[in-house]
Amino acid sequence: MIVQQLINGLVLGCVYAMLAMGFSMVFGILRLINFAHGEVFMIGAMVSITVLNLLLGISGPNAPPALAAVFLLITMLTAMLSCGVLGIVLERVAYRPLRNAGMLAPLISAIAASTLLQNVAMLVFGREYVPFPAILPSGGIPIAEATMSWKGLLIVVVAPIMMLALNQFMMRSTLGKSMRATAENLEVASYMGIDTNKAIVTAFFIGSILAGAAGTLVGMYLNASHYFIGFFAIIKSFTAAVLGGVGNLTGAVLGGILLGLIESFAIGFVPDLTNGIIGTQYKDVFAFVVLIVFLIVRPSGLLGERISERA
Amino acid sequence: MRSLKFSSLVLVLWAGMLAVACSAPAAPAPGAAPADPKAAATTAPAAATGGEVVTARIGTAGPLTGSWSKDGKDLNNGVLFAADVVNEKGLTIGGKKVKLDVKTEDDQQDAKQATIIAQRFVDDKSLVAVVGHYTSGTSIAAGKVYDEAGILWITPNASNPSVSQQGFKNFYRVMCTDPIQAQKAADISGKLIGAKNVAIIDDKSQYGQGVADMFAKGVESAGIKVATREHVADKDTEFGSIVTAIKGKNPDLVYFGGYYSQGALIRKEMAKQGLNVPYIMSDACFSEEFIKLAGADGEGAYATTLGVEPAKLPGYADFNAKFAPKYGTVGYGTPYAYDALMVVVEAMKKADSLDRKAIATAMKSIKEYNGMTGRLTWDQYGDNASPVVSVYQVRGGKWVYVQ
Repeated sequence: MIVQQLINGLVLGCVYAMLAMGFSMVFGILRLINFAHGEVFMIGAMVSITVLNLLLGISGPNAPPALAAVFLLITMLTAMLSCGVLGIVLERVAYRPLRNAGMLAPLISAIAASTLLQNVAMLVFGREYVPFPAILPSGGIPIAEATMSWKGLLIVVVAPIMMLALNQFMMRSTLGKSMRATAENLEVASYMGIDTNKAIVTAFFIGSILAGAAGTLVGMYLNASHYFIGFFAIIKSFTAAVLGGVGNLTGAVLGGILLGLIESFAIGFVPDLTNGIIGTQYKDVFAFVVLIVFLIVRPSGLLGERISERA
Repeated sequence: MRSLKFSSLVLVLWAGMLAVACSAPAAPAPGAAPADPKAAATTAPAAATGGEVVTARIGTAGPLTGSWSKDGKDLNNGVLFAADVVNEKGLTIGGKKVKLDVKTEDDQQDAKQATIIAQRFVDDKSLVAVVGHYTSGTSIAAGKVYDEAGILWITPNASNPSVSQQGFKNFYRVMCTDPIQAQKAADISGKLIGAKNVAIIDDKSQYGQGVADMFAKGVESAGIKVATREHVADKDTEFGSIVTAIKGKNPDLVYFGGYYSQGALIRKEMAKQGLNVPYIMSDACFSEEFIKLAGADGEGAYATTLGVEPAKLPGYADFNAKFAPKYGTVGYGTPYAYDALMVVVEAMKKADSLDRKAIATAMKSIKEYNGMTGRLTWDQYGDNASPVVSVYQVRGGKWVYVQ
């Protein structure tokens, strides 16, 4: 059982890590809690369902494995791209006009954008759970006495690759360097001739791409999507980001994986330990309790914050 | 200039993507929107001279959004259809021609919303009775408001027994209550399936937890062990860890009390983790939506239902023929909602008045009613005194009657 909970936790953790990275990037540069990030994740899931249904509609429901892999790739890329574009539009429409308006106005704008996207999704995709077409086989590979499902395996493989790619991008490329500079101090970076607007837009774009990929993977993993899942996504990604240290990308990854593991193990063992008094419906509570304890003991998170200095 | 071109390109791309998403097969558009509350409150009570048509409003409320919205819509359609039938036949009360107008509200399966809606209904002077709410938790919340106002309210399907135990004076049910379906589920666990060790999950809702608790009692008195008792929050979508925890207890049957969305997702998670044991669900999971969501993994799942499926009811063919062109398929709860409104109309006829209190009093003297769903009688709490319960199983992608 421990191994299975570990596997569950890792898979969940990878998803939270991907979401937290995008969230953390934006927070680090702009000190903005991007509430709409969860909705971008949800739109990613919905778009991937739509595209996959379209593709399967052309080929027929039982596609051979090679074709299925190609479909999956196309679906994920489409979802990622549309979410990236959505992120850019959000930045341009909801956040940039309020860049110098203090902290409250962009926050309200973020909540408004989140509500708007939720309701658009509800109108377009309906109020029900939208099923994800079954493209990956059901079983999995046995590890010790547990099973790692194929979908879980995909997540555990794809997520680290994307996160590593992002890390390399941030460290090596010029654009990555300018993003890090902007994150350190926006004004001074602009004095140094760095195009801070470009850096900010890129941050949103990359964060949203990650959210879109996470949306596709989660939709596949949970076999369904719903217009309201963005709400939980944002709460978890916020928690994970703060847990690892806000603005700190490695911290976001660590926080995400830690959060997933905590949730999994808490569900597995706390009900037994407390004889059912604290039952499994409190699974979200465990994560938040950990967050609160952490904020009291070590407020800057596990690996320390990296928020831009405001003179 | 460059930024203008770029932003317009981005906007065009985004609009294009949205257009593709909208044109792709999407779920049906939302149904009846809640009517403007201000308009209802300021409508003067029905007053007319002979020959004029008087409007009597019937309020109905249930989850039209959220994880049970498909069934909510089906029930709502039943009420609307019944009003159509009554208006077509023509209704005369107190010498005047009466036209029924149904006011639909979405309580989002939330008790707070339900109370607000109940207050709205009660404040509307032209509203004579209520059909609803469609879930037990919301019914209890709204019931307090209706009880104070002395208005007649009939729920087609809210099945938790505590609703009628609150002491509401003008409350009635069409479907019977959960202990009966829980007992049936416990019976088939032992006799039909032969389980010795069961895991029980519920969604912590008034209804879900209630029926799961009753099932637990039922199996324990049949000598079957309850391996574990788990709960999920009603908006959960991720069940990996819970199913793992259950699997570790080695149950040979899993029971779920709750609504179809989670019932389906839990079943899929069980299939994913290789927990292939019989799966029984409570009646809110008996829906086409369960089969759609669960897909191939839903095969073999059982559900208890209060009553029988619509197609088995006598008179279904005519009902369906008139219902389908305007409202689509007959949902599982639709005939019950239909009967609920018909019973209200019976009470109105008996009272021969549009006064709320008169209608509520007249209802007490109606001893039985023969409706679409069979013979309805009520005990002193308003519960259905002639209950029927059935068991269905998913076979070949369809619900098949078992017993």
